[in-house]
Amino acid sequence: MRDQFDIVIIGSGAGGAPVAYVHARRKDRSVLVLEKGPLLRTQDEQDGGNLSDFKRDEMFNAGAERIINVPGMTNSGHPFFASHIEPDLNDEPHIFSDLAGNGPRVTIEGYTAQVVGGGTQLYGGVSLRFAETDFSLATFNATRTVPLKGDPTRDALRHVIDWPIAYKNFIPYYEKAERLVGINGTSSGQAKSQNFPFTTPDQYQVPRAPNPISLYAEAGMKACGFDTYRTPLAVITDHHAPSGRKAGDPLVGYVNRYGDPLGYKSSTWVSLLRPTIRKGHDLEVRPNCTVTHLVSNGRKVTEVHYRDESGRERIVRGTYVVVACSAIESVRLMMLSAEHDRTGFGKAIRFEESGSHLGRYFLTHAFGGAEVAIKRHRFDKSISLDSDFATDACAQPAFLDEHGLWAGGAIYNNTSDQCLPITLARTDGSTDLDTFWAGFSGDMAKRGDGIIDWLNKDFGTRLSVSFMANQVPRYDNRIELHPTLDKWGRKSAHIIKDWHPHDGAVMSTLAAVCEDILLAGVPGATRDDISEGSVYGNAVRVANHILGGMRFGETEAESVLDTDCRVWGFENLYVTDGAFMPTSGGGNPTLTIQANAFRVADLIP
Amino acid sequence: MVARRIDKEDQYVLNLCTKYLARINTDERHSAYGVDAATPRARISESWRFPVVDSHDGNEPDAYEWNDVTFVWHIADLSAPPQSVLLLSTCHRLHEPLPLVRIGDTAYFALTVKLPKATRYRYLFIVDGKLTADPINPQTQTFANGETWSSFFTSAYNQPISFERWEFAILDRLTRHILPFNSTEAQNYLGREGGGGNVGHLYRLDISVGVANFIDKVVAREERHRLYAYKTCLEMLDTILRRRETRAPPEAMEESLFVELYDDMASGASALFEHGWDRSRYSDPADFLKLLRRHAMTGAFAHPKYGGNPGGMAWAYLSEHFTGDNGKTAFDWQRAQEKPLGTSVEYRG
Ligand SMILES: Cc1cc2nc3c(=O)[nH]c(=O)nc-3n(C[C@H](O)[C@H](O)[C@H](O)COP(=O)(O)OP(=O)(O)OC[C@H]3O[C@@H](n4cnc5c(N)ncnc54)[C@H](O)[C@@H]3O)c2cc1C
Repeated sequence: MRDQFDIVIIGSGAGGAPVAYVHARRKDRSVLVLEKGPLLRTQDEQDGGNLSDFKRDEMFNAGAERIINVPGMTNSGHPFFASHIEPDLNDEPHIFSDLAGNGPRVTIEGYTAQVVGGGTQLYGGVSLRFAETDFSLATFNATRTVPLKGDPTRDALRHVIDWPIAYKNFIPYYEKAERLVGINGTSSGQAKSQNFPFTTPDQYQVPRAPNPISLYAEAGMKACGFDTYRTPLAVITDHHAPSGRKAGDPLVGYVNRYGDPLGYKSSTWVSLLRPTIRKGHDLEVRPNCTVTHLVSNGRKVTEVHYRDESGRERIVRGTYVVVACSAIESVRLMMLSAEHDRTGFGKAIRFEESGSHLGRYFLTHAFGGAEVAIKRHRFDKSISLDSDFATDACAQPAFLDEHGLWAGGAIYNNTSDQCLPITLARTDGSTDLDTFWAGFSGDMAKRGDGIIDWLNKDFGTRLSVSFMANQVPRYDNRIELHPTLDKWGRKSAHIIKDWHPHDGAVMSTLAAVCEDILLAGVPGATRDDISEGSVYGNAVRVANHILGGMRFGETEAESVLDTDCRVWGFENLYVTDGAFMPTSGGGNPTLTIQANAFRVADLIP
Repeated sequence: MVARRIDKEDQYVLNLCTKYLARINTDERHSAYGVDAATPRARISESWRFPVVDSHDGNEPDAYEWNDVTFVWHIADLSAPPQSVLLLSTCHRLHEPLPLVRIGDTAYFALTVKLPKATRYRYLFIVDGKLTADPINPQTQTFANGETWSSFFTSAYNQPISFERWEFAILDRLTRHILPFNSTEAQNYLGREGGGGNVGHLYRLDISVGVANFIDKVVAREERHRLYAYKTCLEMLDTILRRRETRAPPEAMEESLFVELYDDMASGASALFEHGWDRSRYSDPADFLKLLRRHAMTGAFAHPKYGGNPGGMAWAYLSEHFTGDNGKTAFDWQRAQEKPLGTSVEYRG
């Protein structure tokens, strides 16, 4: 087996695949992608077969109950429900505590998916660009005089730094990602186009007709005076030349949390890796291989150690090494490598050094929204993708000034949520991924006629509008190693985090806007009919947006990665997953992770 | 039955193995509630997945009636791999064992065979000439002569595995009460529009029977750790019901008794304990009810291959019951599902 490559990339998801795509297409360049998860195929790519390894099957997405058996956890003995491509939490626990000392508990919240394609296999595909100001929130706030809500001690902005690259300079990579990944949506109505117009035509494919239920959301946004656009979604609606995919009928409801058996969803496997391999470039993907640690010599990473599909230890070497395991796992990999060699790798990455930023400023999003059941109308929500309409109105400086917020976020409606019966029951009243079924199972009145009443009210009637906003970065929100060992005898990741009170202000403000949208858009709806809320108060929520922990910046004093996303202290070690973000952006992160990975790919010699 | 061998790519098999079998940690983290304590499967993840039962991938006109079943032998000590691993099974002529083939130099021997859906078989491995049950798969059958064989069932199998008749009877009555198909409104609806009272009756009956069957299977495989709860609680519920109604067996009791039983379990009514619920055997009746509620809902609405929801009947019920503004159904489940169950011209299951 080959053990020497020009580039070794760890992780095949949003951060890893773009680098593989770019480098494998360079002349005489060999690329290896090591991926912990399996290589699951779409229908058309099985060797001699007809079927996909992904299924439209609710038991695949979170079927059977498992029981947490990790000693010493506050939720040992509790159930968890995970998909076939999320890890077994007893084998590879993520451990969570909040800053008040609650925990430790095992959580599924901090994982995306472990499969070739990573989180992009399961994702809803919402592919928003971040707002212009999201790239420079320190500068933006430095000149403002508006007092921030929910920031009595004025410490909310203490750890905010600008991205070392401006939106303007990032645009070409957004365009590249939009074109190569395969995204449908519209650019007109996006506030980002005001200062920096999109290309004509833009890089999006034409969206399919929206689900009729979404029109209420659109009407509500418009009635609030907001410009709207069709939510960019990483699902092809037309022939996609860069990846050689043909379009079909993607509107089937099995979207969020489902791998797509037909490959219409633009996972990084079908959009970037597979076409590169098919074109005959020197790209090898080794699935079912878990990288355990990196070994370095001076400022160079010299070896990548992994366990192969049988569990044997293997070593490969790459002139350049790119880490893209998704932020928590990437930080953990760095820390485990540092523990292996404290004076070498450990010193180079400033492991456990005072003032080091490794593992710090772990981020997700401030999110939430509002929901209403539309009376006297019912819709087949299963004929849909994840979202239809979005607005940038709440990311604009005027809005932020009016409400005393440091940063804002995007708002969009959810279309396919709860469109399938088991999911409807499983998520009924559950507050996070760890509490699936907790609501329905214990809601004893939901039986017989009670279930009919509930379905009459909720099945095909519920319209929700969500916001996805920047979370305040805090030094104390962090990833550490926990002594609990995983199935390879490696220490686990310990995620310690909480919200800042200003996050609460951001969330309550945006949740109220979502409520206003529904109030304005749904005829006859009253405030009593609408429920609104957010994840404020529930610190474990990560919701698959796993960001920060190795932020990039202009100086070593303030960051772990340099502006090229190369680890300070190393010549050949890069990080391209969500870990690089110093602030989490006002929108779902994946497009930005992909765009940044394309940017970094160009910077790796 | 004569199983036909199916060629699968090595990658297919490895994809099924690594996450669950490859490891160095030997803690017993996978023995939920102690069911696998001190066995090798307590150390591996989701042992119930083996042998792996998948849709049959073939072009035959009746392909949908079949499964591809993959047997795996995991080499514990790679420095001394066995020379040969054979499958001896009732799914093939018993005197003609089939060889498992090692995947390259990996830790796995594997064999995939094509078998009809809705069937159950037993098997042993012959490893370098020695007969042994499958150390991974937890499903076993022990015979009068004391022999223990591994066993498995294919999709939509509907013969009892975990429960006795009387247990099914209680399960059936209770789940019927939980699910919507027995509600007054559903009965009216089904009686009125479902093509006459008979069809309505069929719905109710088949779905609750299906759901009991789903539970029978799920506690034999994916959620074996819940078998104890069912065995213990159903026995106590039987005692309670018989104490409350002496003239008829549970399957023939009035609906009201099950309503009362449900309410008592939900509220933890003291009558329940007076009539026979023993807290030392299972502390909280509401916990059992929660479990049953989750299983009832899952069984009714999961894909028919899991043994509940025969023919997609519960989906069809939703689809007929809920119509949208345009007069069309508000749950057109068939367009997303494979033929012949559904009508998708793209997705093949
Ligand atoms: C259900 C769901 C819905 C989502 N919806 C959206 C959405 O609508 N829009 C959006 O923007 N985002 C969404 N996300 C989030 C999105 O998936 C992530 O933002 C994105 O995938 C993160 O990219 P990444 O490169 O950081 O990590 P990933 O894409 O997760 O890739 C990391 C890869 O590294 C592999 N890996 C980890 N450790 C190792 C190791 N030690 N050795 C080898 N390989 C390793 C993992 O198996 C994984 O494949 C969703 C996620 C989920 C799960």
